[in-house]
Amino acid sequence: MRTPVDASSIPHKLLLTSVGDLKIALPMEHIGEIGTLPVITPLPSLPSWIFGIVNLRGEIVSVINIADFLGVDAAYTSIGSRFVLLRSGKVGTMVLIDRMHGTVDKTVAELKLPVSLNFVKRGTEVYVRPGFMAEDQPVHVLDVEAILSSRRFLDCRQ
Amino acid sequence: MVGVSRKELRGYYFHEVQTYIPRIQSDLAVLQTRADAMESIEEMHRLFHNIKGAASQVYLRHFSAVAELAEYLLNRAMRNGNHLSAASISYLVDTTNKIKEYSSAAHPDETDERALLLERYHQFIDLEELRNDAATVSLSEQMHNLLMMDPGSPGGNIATMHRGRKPSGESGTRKALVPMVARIGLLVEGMRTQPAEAAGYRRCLEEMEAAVQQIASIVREGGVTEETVFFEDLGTMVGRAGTTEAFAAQPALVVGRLLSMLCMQTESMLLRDLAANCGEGDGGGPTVNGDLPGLLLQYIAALEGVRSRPGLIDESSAQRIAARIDRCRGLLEGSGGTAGGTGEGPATAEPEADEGCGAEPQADDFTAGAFGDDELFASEVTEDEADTLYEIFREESEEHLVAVNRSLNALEELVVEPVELSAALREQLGGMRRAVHTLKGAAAMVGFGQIAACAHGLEDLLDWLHDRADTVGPDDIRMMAGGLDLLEELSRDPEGDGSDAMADLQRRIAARIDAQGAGAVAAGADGGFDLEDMVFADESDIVPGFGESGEHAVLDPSRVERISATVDSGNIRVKVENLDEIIRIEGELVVARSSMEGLLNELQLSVDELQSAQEKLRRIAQELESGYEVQSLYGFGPETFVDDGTGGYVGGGSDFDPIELDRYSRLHLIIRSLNELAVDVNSIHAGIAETSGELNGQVVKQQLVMGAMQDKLMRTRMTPMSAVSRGFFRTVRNTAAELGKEVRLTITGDDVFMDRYIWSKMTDPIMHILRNCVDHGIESSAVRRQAGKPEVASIRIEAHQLGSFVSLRIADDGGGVDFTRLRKKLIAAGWLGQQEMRSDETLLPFLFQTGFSTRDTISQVSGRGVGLDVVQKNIQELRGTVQIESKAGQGTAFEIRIPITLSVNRAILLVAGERQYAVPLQDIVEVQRVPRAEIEKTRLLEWRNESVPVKELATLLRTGEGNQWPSTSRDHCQLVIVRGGKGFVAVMIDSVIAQREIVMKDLGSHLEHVKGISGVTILGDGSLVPVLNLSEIIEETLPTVKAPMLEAPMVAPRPAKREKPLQVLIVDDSISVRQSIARLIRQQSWKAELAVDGVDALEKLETYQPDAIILDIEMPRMNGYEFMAILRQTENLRTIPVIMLTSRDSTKHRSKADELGVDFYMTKPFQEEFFLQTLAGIRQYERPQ
Repeated sequence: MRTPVDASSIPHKLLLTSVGDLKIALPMEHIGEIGTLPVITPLPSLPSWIFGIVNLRGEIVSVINIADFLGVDAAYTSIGSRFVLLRSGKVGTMVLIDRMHGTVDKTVAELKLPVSLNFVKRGTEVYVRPGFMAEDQPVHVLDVEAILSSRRFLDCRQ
Repeated sequence: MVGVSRKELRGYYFHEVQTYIPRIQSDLAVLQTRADAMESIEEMHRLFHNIKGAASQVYLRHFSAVAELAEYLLNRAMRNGNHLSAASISYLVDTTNKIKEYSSAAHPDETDERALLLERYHQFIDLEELRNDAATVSLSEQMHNLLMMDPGSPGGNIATMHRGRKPSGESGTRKALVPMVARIGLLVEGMRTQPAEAAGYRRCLEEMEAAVQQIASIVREGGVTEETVFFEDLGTMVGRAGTTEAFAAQPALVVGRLLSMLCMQTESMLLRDLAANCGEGDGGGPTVNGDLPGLLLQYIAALEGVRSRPGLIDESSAQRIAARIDRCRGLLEGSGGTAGGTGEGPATAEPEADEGCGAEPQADDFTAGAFGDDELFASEVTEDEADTLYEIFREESEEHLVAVNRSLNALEELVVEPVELSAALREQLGGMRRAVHTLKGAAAMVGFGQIAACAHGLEDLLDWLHDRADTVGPDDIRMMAGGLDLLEELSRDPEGDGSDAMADLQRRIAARIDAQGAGAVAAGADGGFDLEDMVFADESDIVPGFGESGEHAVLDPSRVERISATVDSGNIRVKVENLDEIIRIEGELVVARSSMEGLLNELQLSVDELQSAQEKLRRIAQELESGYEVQSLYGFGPETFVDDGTGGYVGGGSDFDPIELDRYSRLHLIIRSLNELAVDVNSIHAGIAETSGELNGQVVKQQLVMGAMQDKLMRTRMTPMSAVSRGFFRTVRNTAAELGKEVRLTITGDDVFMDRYIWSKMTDPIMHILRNCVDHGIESSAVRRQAGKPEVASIRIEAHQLGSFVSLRIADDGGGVDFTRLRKKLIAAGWLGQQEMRSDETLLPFLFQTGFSTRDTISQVSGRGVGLDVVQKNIQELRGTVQIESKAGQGTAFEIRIPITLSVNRAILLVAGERQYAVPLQDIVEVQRVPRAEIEKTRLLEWRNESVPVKELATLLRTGEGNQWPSTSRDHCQLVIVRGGKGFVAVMIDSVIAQREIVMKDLGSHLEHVKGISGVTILGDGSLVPVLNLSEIIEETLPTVKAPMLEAPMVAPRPAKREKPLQVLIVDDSISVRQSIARLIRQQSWKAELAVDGVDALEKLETYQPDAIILDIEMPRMNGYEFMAILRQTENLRTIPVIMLTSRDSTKHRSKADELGVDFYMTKPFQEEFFLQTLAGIRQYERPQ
């Protein structure tokens, strides 16, 4: 007889990245592509966290500054030169990162670190899942689905 | 026919007959004054023929015979071209009255039916005897059979009639038919396995045609005449089916329908005989006797064979066949043959106790259940096919609904009070009737019973109005409009429940007609429409020529012609998404061609460079040759040599003066070779230049062809306003009815064309405005009366095409905007200061603000404050504008201006705030270059006798430096004049780059709409250029007030400077370094300018002011230190920050750089992140003075 599997024990693959001093983990199931940033075309009348759009082999994709989106203090951020294409449903966007450290497997049980309001602005913590510690640094796990379906993300008229 | 009892069928039939009576009476009235009125004779003949045929279908054979007698008289008059005698007319009047009486009886009795026939027959014989012509009377076999069946005995019935036939012939027919039924079964199942292509269905049609001909031959030999006619007709139809438009669109459906008819009739024939031979079984159910059990077993075996054939049928088909076998077995075992076995198959009718032989209804029910049309239809049409079918129907119904609406609108205009029906009005009614009838047929064809039933009801009203009524009034028009609304609704959602609305409509129509004493329309038993009511109409429309008479009429030649004509109608239906896909592909071609144009330009530059190099080569070779020759001539040159043939050289020819003898050294030869090479290069250059020119010519040709193609494709998407305008009438009618107001909508410009997509996007905004007009604008009747206005209010929609735009004006004659109330509301909402003075006109744009409503209460129609803002947003997204005008007591008008298409072919590429943008050519009225002094102070441009406001694009886009005027053009300003919602606006830009073809794409899945941006275009090099919606950008911005329910967006204030791309000058002699740094910079959307050394850099700085300079040390002509020394001494350049990027890392080099005013010192290879961070903060850097 098979014993039921505890969902919290199933490992999830995460991509570990850096945006400035911020360590961010991105769920692999939402990652469409990783690459070097193409030329960004800025658009007017958009919030500051949207850099603009790029032409990714014929597909027009927005490029966002995730640190800015989360309201992270500018001191912790930098402008990355690499991108991670995130997708959820039909919506996709590029997030700029500075460095990519590799992938980690984490179970839900291992993701215990509460979201630090030292980093994200109040109101945006809903876009971050509990994280974990890596090399004595907190790692924030982004809730890509929540971000890409949020009103804040989609209704981005300034 | 599934689930319909014989009683119900007869009810429907009598309903149909009663609709014929008024027309027959009308024709008889004509004949009584003019006995040779052939058109009346012809129409009566057709109507009696229909009565006869349909009666036969519902087993009213005596009744059918009564009609046949009348038809006989009329047919003879038509054939001989004679007039009808007074006695014949009198006979026809009597017959008509008796048919009317019998068909309107609550429960017509079969005995009465027989009595009616005998009475009519005796009268007929008397009439013929009057003509001394009785002997020549030639009536049908059925008539003879009926009359021979002991007319005096009331016990005769249909089963007796069947038994009266020749047993041998019937038995032979049955025997022959059983294998045919099995063959048809194979055909049915075979069709399911045919490849889903026209060829497969054509094969099926061929097999079917052969089977039908064989069956026709069998029944002809068996003497079953009516079935013979049917199968002959069916054979003709099957033969023609392959060439019809319907087959081209839906082959499976057409074949399935024909097969269904074939199955139904064949099995019906077989089982009717079975019923006629059945007796009462032990269980009280019907049993079969004679040779039929054996035949049924054969039939079952055939079905079993089909079922067991591997790969031939799928699981669901196998189940259906199993159900059919169960029923046959049940019949054999006397169990009643119900379909209980598998639970599949449609319901059967309840047996009727009062219907003669108990077995007969069972046989009929069995027929319906075994090869019921619905069952087969359901099995033939897959979900995808049903969707396609619906799409086809929707397209077709659109055309008919447009036609009906057009007539209705005309009638609305003409009928404002009850008026006599003039010829013009009857013509409009006739037009409506034709369109409704066709729509009914189309709906029945695709199985949308509700729509067909609704159209049928509306047709009743139109028939009555057209043929019988003397007057028509606004109530009639409203009734028609109601019917039309229902039709529209059902056409949009054929599966929706419209039964209540239909019943209501029918009640109103019946009441209207009854009130006029016509009583022509007989409702069903419950007073409403029944879907089964459409059985007759369905079949007549499914296959032209069939079912009109009900007695297997011969194909009507005119209808046959129509079928043939449709083969080459010149039209083809194309799905919009397929069209869009073609347009998308064409767009890709344009991009590819644009890319090719870019490459050609580069090639041309290379050719020009080659020419320059070739010239240089030729000049040097000539100089070398002539110089050397001169030196040789005067003995200043080196010792001349001649080749000794062994690779060495020897001196020689010293006896000769150089003028006397040419001396050739190796250098000579090299120079000669060089000259020849120059000639060759010249020749190659000429060749490449010629090819390049030809390529350019081809590209220009492509441009022209693709431009024409784009234009054609764009036009295929265009539809007139009439395609959507009928919804506007409905909106006004419904809203007015809801609010108890009298409003009439008038539309002019129904034939104005726009892109289908634009109409679809404009429909909701227009409907919203119309609802607003009715609700807010139009006063109540009492108020209008007091104001001396007509009680019926008016709303007008006027559409005009103005170049590439359409102007839509929606105006009502209501009370206009209450400005006092509006002002109070704005002050209360905090959008207007208490003491703020604004003219009425300037308050109107607030009506478009989110969350604003002048209403205190919320109704279903309006008051929520959600509406006009969405209207404006939708219109702006289409690159359009909307404006309001209002005058107290006179009404309000919405002026909408919208481009006829969103597909942008040509655009101007321009620069504003140092970024590139595209503006569709059709959005631009004019481009002007004006002296700066003319507009700098007033910010107004005097243009076409108007003072046009000048607005700076970079400022509007917040990409520039505030209100600073562009510095790129010192003496002149470049202005793009566009038409805004409130008139013309001159938009100042930096410069125009070019005009070119573009393909617009959307902004991706995330940024669906960005204010002022319609989309983006991809240039040949893959770079993106935003396409501006200038109309939206130049709209006056009202104070932004967020509706309380909206979440305040967390938008960090964006520093204006960040919007302007960083300008960086890279000075390095290494092309690799220059390009790699430039790439890195451009990735950040900054701008990079390149210089190969200090001299080049200084030249560039004469016309260019960068934000930073990246500088190497070691370079030819002028090194980095020398450059720095000049830079820091030049007034307008000394403050530019400099990053020295070098491989020299010694203290000496660093000190020198520091001394000369270098701001940052970095060594190669450098850290990209640090380098970019330094550049990112360079604008905030303040260099020490």
